[in-house]
Amino acid sequence: MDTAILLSALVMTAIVALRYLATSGLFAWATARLRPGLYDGLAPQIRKEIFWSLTSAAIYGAPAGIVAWGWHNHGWTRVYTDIGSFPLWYLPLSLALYLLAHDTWFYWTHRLMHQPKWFRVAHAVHHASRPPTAWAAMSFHPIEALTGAIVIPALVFLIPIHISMLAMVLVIMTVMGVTNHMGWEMFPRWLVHSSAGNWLITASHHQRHHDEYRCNYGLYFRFWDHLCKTDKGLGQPAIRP
Amino acid sequence: MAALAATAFTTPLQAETTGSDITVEITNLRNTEGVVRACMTRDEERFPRCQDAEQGYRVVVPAGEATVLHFTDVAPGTYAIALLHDENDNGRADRALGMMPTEGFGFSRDARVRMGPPDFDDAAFTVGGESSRQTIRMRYML
Repeated sequence: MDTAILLSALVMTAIVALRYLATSGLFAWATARLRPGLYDGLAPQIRKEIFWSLTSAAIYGAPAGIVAWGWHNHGWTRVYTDIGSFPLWYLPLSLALYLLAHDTWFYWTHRLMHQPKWFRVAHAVHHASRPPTAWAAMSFHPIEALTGAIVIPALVFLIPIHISMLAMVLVIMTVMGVTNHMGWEMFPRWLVHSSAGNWLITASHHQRHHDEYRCNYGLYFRFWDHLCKTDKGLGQPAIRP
Repeated sequence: MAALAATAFTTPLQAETTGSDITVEITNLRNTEGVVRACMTRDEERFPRCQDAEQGYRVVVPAGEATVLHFTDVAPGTYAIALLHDENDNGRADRALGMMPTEGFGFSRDARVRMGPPDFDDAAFTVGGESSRQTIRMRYML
């Protein structure tokens, strides 16, 4: 039994690591095609980003693997597979609840990690990427990685979610984590500079956090930033020397 | 349809002369399209698909008639049943993105699908000398 848990943690670590390499690799490739030269001279930094990201993969993989093991073998969690277990309108609602909960947790832990003491200990690694690249998506100090790694494994015990919506949460988390750091905006102007864009975080918003540090702390949505007056608006991610 | 009806009888893969009858009531079929494929096996390695299973019994019935299934002349032992609502009758469980089944499934003891199908042990039941009856609820992931 113990070996099954360990195996599950290891398999999940491998999945998280491969997911990171595939997604960051894909968007780094797209960057080279669409914004040639954007990562010039950043090779030493990218090597560090990959190192910290792969370390984080183990920190993300272990709790996820343990929970997956407990789900399959002991029925832990409120993840459901039978689409008929809840009404269909609950599918988008559960997705929204997960993203909002994750966003709230991220905003406040992120602000804490910008307190000077915590910044030095836990968050300086992530900000060592100047400017960040598509490889910086999981470039966290282990302490910061831990604050991110426990979110979804905790939420699955609290909020019922269909397996397909859980997959959707992970896809959004992965893609936004990479694209918000890759240094250019992939979403169309009409969306980013719209009233919906005023509430959504994409690269234009998060780039400004990496440029100026003490603003734009959110993950997916901007209402905590708006509410707490920490939103400085969009930066100019594509126009970088 | 005649061909389908003809396959609706049990096909014991190993000859048995005096066994018991297992009756399965199916609930929650979401439509009457295609067929229900039932497989009952003693072989843990071949569960839930029954492929080349030596100790296996198979039944295929049109979904419109599949409220009750019969496995006849079943030798004593420990078995597990897997049902597939093969709506397009292509002989396999169709999947979205190669992962999530888009066709319904059900298992003896209503064993749950979590990360993949249930283990044999979770769906296992014992067949002795007497005939028995059980209910299996169909479930649909997508």
